[in-house]
Amino acid sequence: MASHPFSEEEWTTCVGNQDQYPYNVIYCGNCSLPFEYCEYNSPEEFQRCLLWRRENYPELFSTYDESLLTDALKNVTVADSLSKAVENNSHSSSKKKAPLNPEIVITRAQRKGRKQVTIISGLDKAGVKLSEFSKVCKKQFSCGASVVTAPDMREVVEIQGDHLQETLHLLKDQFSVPQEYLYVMDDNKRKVHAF
Amino acid sequence: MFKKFSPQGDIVSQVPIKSSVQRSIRLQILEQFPSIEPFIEDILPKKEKWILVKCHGHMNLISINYGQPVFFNLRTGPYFPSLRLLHAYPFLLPRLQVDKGAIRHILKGADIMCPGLTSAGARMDEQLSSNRMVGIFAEGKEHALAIGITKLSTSDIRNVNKGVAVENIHYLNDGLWKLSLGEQQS
Repeated sequence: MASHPFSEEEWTTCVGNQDQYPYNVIYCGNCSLPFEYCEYNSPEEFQRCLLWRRENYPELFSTYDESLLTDALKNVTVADSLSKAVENNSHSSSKKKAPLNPEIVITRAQRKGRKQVTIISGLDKAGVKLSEFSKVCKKQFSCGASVVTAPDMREVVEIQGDHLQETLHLLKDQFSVPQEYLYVMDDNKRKVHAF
Repeated sequence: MFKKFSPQGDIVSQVPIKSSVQRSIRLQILEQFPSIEPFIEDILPKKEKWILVKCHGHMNLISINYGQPVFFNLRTGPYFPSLRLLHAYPFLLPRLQVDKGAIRHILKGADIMCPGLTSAGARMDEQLSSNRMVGIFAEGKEHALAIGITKLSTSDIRNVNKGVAVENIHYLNDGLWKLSLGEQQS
């Protein structure tokens, strides 16, 4: 690793030799942190960092670093590990597509006086397209419906009027969403199963 | 501050900065960091296009040519350097050094607690008042890992030795560190 830009006396004043700035910091191509912080990544990530460092900055790759590499990876190159990572990712992404418990939460909210809206959140996680769902709602309930961004930055579908029960059945029958995914916000603002 | 920062949700607008505004920003930054003067042309070149990135919560980022943000501020408050800038010019901020055990937590966005600054591996060589911008460095490490604001003066940190000493504003691998504006542009 390059020598420290400060000598001991300069530590406090923080003004070293002016010529050496801007100090050129080398960042890890894998995790984007300076090398010395790579070790704070997850263990698997750190292994990839080490491999990257060995490939691209062999002069900064010390024997100590070598000892941190797990045996299985010692003779592997970055390309290999990348392809492995891709494999792993494809595995995990297929899992991610169907998360264990997608929750569709249906809420009623008041708008301007006694007007009500029905808000359906969590549709995207259950694999229902928001725009399509809102279109179907418009036709079925003959009302306004749109995809809006909730304050927490999630996309939700907002239907004008109180259509809580209808949407539940619509989701269950037409969109074949399993019953256990459906939740309703009750009067105490608590999430309860719809059925 | 940037823990939950996401480019899609949190960036409101990106606009080029007028040259007259550029001048005032440059003056303000020079006033804040006098030691930066010899390098100001490298960091904030006059000829390049400055971009003001407005974010939720009245956060403003300054980027040169849609590159990595170099400075950010809140409302009209003081300008914070980004960590990448602090790495290149480590003399910008007064330094505080934390012990090894604190690094993990800081990299997850935690505030810096007093004991992390008073134990054996830590250093506080300067006398600082509260509400000062500081760079957080770590025992045995060369580069800064966070930028924060002191909540207590250094003497108080020593005496009280409990609770939050420095508020974590910007740390390695947070939303601002990962932000790349190039994608937004297209």
